[in-house]
Amino acid sequence: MKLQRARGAVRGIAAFALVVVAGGWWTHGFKAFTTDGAALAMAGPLPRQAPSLDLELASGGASSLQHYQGRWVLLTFMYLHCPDVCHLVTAKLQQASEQIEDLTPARLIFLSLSLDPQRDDTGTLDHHWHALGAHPGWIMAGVADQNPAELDRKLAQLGVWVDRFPDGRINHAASSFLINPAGQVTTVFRAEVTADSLVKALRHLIQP
Amino acid sequence: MIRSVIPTLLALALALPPMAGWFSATMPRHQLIQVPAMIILGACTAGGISRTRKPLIASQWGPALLILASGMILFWMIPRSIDLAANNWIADQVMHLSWFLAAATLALVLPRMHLMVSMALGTQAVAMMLAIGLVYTRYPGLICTAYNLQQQHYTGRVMLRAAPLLGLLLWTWGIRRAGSKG
Repeated sequence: MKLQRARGAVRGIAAFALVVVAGGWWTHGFKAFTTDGAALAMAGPLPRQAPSLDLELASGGASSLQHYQGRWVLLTFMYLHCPDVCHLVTAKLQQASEQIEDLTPARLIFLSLSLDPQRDDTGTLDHHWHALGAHPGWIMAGVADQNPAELDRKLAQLGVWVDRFPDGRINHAASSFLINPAGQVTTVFRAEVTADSLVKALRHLIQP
Repeated sequence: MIRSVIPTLLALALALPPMAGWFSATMPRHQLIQVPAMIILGACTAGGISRTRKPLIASQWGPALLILASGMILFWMIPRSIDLAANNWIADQVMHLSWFLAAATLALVLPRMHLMVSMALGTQAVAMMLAIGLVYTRYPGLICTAYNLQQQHYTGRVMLRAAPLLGLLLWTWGIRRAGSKG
């Protein structure tokens, strides 16, 4: 009877160890429970160098993420056919951009990149930018890299995940990435951050 | 034996095309219909297993099976795991199998354990359902990225309404069972 109980206890401890190890591995040490969190954990600790991204500006012409080195960049990703989250993030950015006009565009740029080059051409993005008030410190662009695998690799370096679905949905990270003048990602703002909190944090980081 | 076969076949029907695609298409269908159905069918399957085998399984492997079943359930409550299941057919099938097996395991093991264990696990499950319901309704972003905010809010609202009812059922059952034993 005692032996049977001991065996039961050992099996229980082994099962518990297995559950803890598997759970710890899957959540990156019980830190990353969402797809967003896992992508950020896999990208590595902050600060980290932002990848090079070629851009097609909504206002016309080509540019790159590196072009904005020397200024702070608040980088977000979106696509205009997004059913919900992108528009909530855009609305928040619009509020924030109006509250921080004294720093944009000289010291800070809001950069919203579309992940849907097929549907969000430069004309459509430009129309959207004007609808939002055509703020000079807020740049809208598409990524010029047409190879999705290569683009996803670069985005993964940043901590951004992307899932493209046959029905046209493009699920992706909704976080905002603050890149310092040296081109390093220094802070990641989760999608749920409010405009007021975002502005407060940006002022604190840019004007310490 | 037949009492185990029928729920197993039903579970297979729910987990395989064309039913699986319909359930996975929206968050409410998946989390409010398919997952509870797999749990109920898993428990029904265990109920049909020969009663002579139950004590043997429960006494020798009880604690280990209880922990593994709880671990499986916890794993598929992680948002990242649900995303994986929604985007990958194999992971989706593993998830269905996990819910089914976890429920069958709990149905086999819990009746052989002290009532307190069942009540503690049940209360924890109700509390988690309430917590998930709150997160789904209050959180401004997507928890499970494979679905949309409208579906997330609806699923959360239903969970918030279902959790107190489940808690009431659980405690009514627990008090009656404690009374019948005492």
